[in-house]
Formats: sequence, structure tokens, C-alpha cells
Amino acid sequence: MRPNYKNLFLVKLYRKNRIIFYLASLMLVCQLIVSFTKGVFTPFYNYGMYSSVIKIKEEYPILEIYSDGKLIDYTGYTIYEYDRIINGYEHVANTNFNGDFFDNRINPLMSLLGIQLTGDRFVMNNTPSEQNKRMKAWKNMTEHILKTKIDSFGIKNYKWNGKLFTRM
Amino acid sequence: MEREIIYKNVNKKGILNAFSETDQKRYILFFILLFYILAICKFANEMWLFQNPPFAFRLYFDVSLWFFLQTGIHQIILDNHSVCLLFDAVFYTLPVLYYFTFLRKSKFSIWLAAFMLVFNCVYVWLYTVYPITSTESQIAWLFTPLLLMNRRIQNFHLWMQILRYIFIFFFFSAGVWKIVQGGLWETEEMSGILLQQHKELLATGANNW
Repeated sequence: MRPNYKNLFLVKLYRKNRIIFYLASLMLVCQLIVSFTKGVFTPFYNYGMYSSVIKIKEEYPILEIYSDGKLIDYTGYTIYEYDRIINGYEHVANTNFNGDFFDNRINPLMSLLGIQLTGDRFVMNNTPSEQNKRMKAWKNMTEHILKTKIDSFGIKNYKWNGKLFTRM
Repeated sequence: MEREIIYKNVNKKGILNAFSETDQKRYILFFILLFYILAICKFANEMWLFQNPPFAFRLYFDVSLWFFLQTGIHQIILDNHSVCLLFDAVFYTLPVLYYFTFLRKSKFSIWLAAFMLVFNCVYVWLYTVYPITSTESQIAWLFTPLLLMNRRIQNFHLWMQILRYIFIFFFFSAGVWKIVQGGLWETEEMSGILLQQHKELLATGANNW
């Protein structure tokens, strides 16, 4: 059977409205460029999260929070609260996160295109006092979520034996 | 001005697809209702921007975001409750404002939708430079204003179909990525992801799956 190209959506669009057709084609081209270069340009994304190979590891870093000498059990909190605590900590603890990303990824790519970007806009102020301020802000938020005062917190490595986590 | 009351489209099987003004109104109302139900859910879970005034921001791979960061707006909202509240106020009033101008058949609604397109983009960037969520999950706020910018019923219907194709592409490409990147063929994949996402829950509380 010969395919009937008249029924293609883009063909119909071309007949009905030329401007929307050109816009839709432009969007399609942008999406294809983004997909094949594995880049991102809002609103064109690659929906490939969790598609790379993720294996079970033997060790995992776990954020431990102690209150009144007891380890906080995260199971009593909603997934949003849990995410805010864990993700927030990752970004507060990783002090040179933005600096490395700017030097290794953004700057080389932009220099290729001949564009000079200001580093100050990208890299957070990483003086010890600023870092402390951010850590304090995270602690305040966490105390607000957990509804209790925090004694201490830190990352500890745990071993996964296929069934249980054990502290190393 | 509006001469087209009904837009008819006969497909190859001879079935008549009619899209009327009532459908358009219903569709917009549905979007508005969904938007506010989500807004209430987000508010209850403390996910509005002002409830999470950013104390740090992160960089991720998005070329357009890097150009946006050059403006420095994201540095203004750091630890700033009132500016965050202002952004929230505008973001959450635009849809209802649009709906009323649309009902009054005002031409202003088109400009409002265009403003919504730009503002939503800025809001989503600000919302995601702080580690709350990822931009990919916010595409509805980026694409729907494109649809709302059309008052003519035929153009509105065409954009609805384009958005439908984008929605289908979302799932199709996710499937392709799983095959290309090899996640589909890995037997430990699901367990690996679950462990990565819930390691703290398993380590501190629940003893098993």
C-alpha cells in the first residue's frame, strides 16, 4: 500500500497555517539538534534520566542526623521533605561544585562559540564565612522539617549486603 | 471579529472531529483547575519558592540557562523572602487573570499569555537552579502559554495537536534513551535506582524493601 503523505500532520499543518507550520518545524529541528548533540536548551530537553547503566554498589554514603542522641529515621517524613533535606545537603556540602562545573564544562564550550561569560554570576562566594552561613541555613530548614533540634550530622559510609545496610 | 464558531476536520475514515468554542473554554478551564490543584498540593508540601528561599544554587547543563544567569537575577533571590514571594504571587495569579480576560474576549489575553510564556520560563529557571526539582518536569508551564496565545479556534486546535505530539515524543524518546544508553539491558538497573534514591530511608529506618 502506498503511504498517503496528505495525512501527515506536518502536511496538514502546512495547508492550514503557514506560520504555525514554520514554528513547529523550527521546534522540531531544535529538538533534533538537542537530542543528537546531547545538549539542553530550554524548552528542549533530553528525557533520558535513569537510562544509563546503574549497578548496585557495595558502599553508599549516608547522611546521618542525630537529635537527642538518637539517629533520625527518615521514614516518618514525606518524600518532598526527605528530598529537600538530602538534596539540600549535597549542594551545601559540595563547596566547589559550581567552580569546577564552570571551569570544566561551561567556559570551554562558550569559548568555542566565542562568548565570554562572567564567572561571578556562576560561582558562589566560597569564603568559609559564606559556607558556614549556607550550612546554617540548611540546618535551620532541616530543623523546621524534622520539628526537632539537631545535635550533629555528617556523612557516613554504609555497606550494602544485598538485604541490609550496615554501618562501616 | 470571531467568525469561526466551529472548526471542522474530517479525517481519512470520514469521522468528523468538531472543536467548538465550548471545547476551547472547557480546555482552558481544565488547565486552570489543574494548575491550582497542583498549586495547593505544592503549598501543602512547602514547595512554593517563598517557602524554600534558596540559600545555594547549582549549575546544570542548559545553555539557555547560562545566558539567563548572566543577568544575575538568581543572586537577588538568594536568602530573600520578599522577592521570592513576589515571583510566586505573579506566577500563581497569571493563569486566573488570563482566564478572566479570555472570558471577556479581550485582546489583552494574547499579550498576557505571551508575558506568561516569558515569565514562566524565568520562574522555572529560578525554581530549578535551587535543588528542589529538575526543569524537565516543568515543561507544562513552558509550553501551555504557546497554546493560550491563540484566540482563533483553528489555531488553538492546531497547537493542541502540536502539544500532543510533544507529549508523545516525551515518552517515545525516553524509551529510545533507555535502549541507546543501555539501561534496558541491565538486570540490576531497577534495584540500583531504588537504592540510590532511598538509601537513607533503608539505612536509618525500614530494614528491607
